[in-house]
Amino acid sequence: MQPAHARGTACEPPRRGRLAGFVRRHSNPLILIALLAIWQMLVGFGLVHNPAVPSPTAIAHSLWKGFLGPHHILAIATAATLGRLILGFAIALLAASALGLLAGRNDDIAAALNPLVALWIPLPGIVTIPVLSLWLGVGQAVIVCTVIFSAWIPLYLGALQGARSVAARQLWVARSYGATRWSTVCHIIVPSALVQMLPALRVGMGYAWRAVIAAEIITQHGEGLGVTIFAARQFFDVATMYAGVILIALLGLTIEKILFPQLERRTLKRWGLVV
Amino acid sequence: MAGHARGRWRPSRNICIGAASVGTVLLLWQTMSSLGVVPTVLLPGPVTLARQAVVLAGQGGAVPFQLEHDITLTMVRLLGGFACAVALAVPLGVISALWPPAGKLLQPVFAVLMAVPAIAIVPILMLITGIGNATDVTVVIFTAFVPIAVYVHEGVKLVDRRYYWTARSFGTRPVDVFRHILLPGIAVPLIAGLRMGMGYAWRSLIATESLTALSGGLGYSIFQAAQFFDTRTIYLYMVVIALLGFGIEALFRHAERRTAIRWGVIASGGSQ
Repeated sequence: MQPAHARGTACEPPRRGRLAGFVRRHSNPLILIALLAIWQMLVGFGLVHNPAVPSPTAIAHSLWKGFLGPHHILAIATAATLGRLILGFAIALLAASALGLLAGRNDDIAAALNPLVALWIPLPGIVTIPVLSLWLGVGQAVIVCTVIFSAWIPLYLGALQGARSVAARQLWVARSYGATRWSTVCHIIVPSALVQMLPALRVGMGYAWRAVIAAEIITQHGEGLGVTIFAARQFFDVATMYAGVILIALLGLTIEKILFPQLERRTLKRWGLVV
Repeated sequence: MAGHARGRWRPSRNICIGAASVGTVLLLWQTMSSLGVVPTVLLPGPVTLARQAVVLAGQGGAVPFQLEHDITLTMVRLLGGFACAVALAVPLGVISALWPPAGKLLQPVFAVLMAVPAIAIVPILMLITGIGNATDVTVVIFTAFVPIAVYVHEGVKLVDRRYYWTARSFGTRPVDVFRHILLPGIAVPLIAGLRMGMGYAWRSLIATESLTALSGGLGYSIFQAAQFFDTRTIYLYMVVIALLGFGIEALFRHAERRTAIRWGVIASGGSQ
């Protein structure tokens, strides 16, 4: 039996009961709830009296109305934005991974693409909007292309790294057993590149997400969360603007913190690479 | 960037191929526009753009687009906002790492801020700060702040606590603790965070400028040129934005490499 004072170390304060434990375990959401409560009180008691700052309850009401109200404004906008995001991301993924695999297996192609990619990396995706509008006219295609042009860089770099990191020994084995070029690509290069690409997918999706919102806000075409936010500004419907921003944040968090970790776990399991 | 890590790296050959590919693209572009394969309205050639650059740079207020003025405006906003973001983010990152209650409080806030694309808050900001400089600079601060603070936080966490204890027991002054323990410890993640913050800030500044109607600057002018169907200016500004971004990025890459060597870290860490 230890003496009582030796049990709790300096780093770990002694447990105080259920409530304290609960607070410690769920501190992050609790802090956010507390901040929302402070915000609500500031606005509710009139301490912050600015038409540009609505109360959280007004925003919640606007969110509720946007999904379940008669016009489903936010629901339609979310569906439209996600559709563009997925379409653009899928095209970028296909094109960039094909290019990346090619460059990863052939140093000369990589050397040729290198300066072009390096110039493209710091180019903000939305800068392509004026040019795309010239070529494609104002419409859906401009937004989808902006997504493609923003997302392809990390995807390309990921595929490049992935194709480079294929173990040479596996290729020798495959070749000495007479595997065709195509089956080598399908069974060795793509699977091992894919695992390397997973972090790049996440980064690329982040870029694509930012790009789709920016393109919607700037082009103001059709439906979409970005369009809704900016349109609500015209009517000074501040609560809807905040609701849109919160929805964007929540969707972004869901994609990044729930969807991609799941995808990564499953892929690693599928290809038998859980360490 | 690519290729350095491989065994058979042939610098001269790679650079030759790179230069040749850029040259080919420029040549193809010029021929396409000279031969009229693509209407020059849609795709003016590099020579036309160079001429346009001279025109826009030479005029003092005679043409609607003033290249020098736009570059200066954008850079001043970028650097001013970035300096503010660093001044806010570094102390907050250090405090949140060293003082647990602050860390607990700030971490969820950082996570939420990280999830909001800056461009989405621009319409709201415009209601509060107007459609001029203030919004642009606020967006730069907002976007650059989060990655810098997060990287500094992680960097300070990584510094071995025993160094502090040793320093403290030898009676080292706090200033010296900062200079000789904290700063070398966080140098690499700090530079990575600065680079990431600058990348984000650069993108969102250009996007914000295009929305804030009173602001001027590169992002504003490129969309203004689109309104006038002034194709040459659109392409020229695109090239200028790409080159400026490339220059900024190159500076940070250089700084990253120097820091890694200076502070005795071999692998350049956290380069995203």
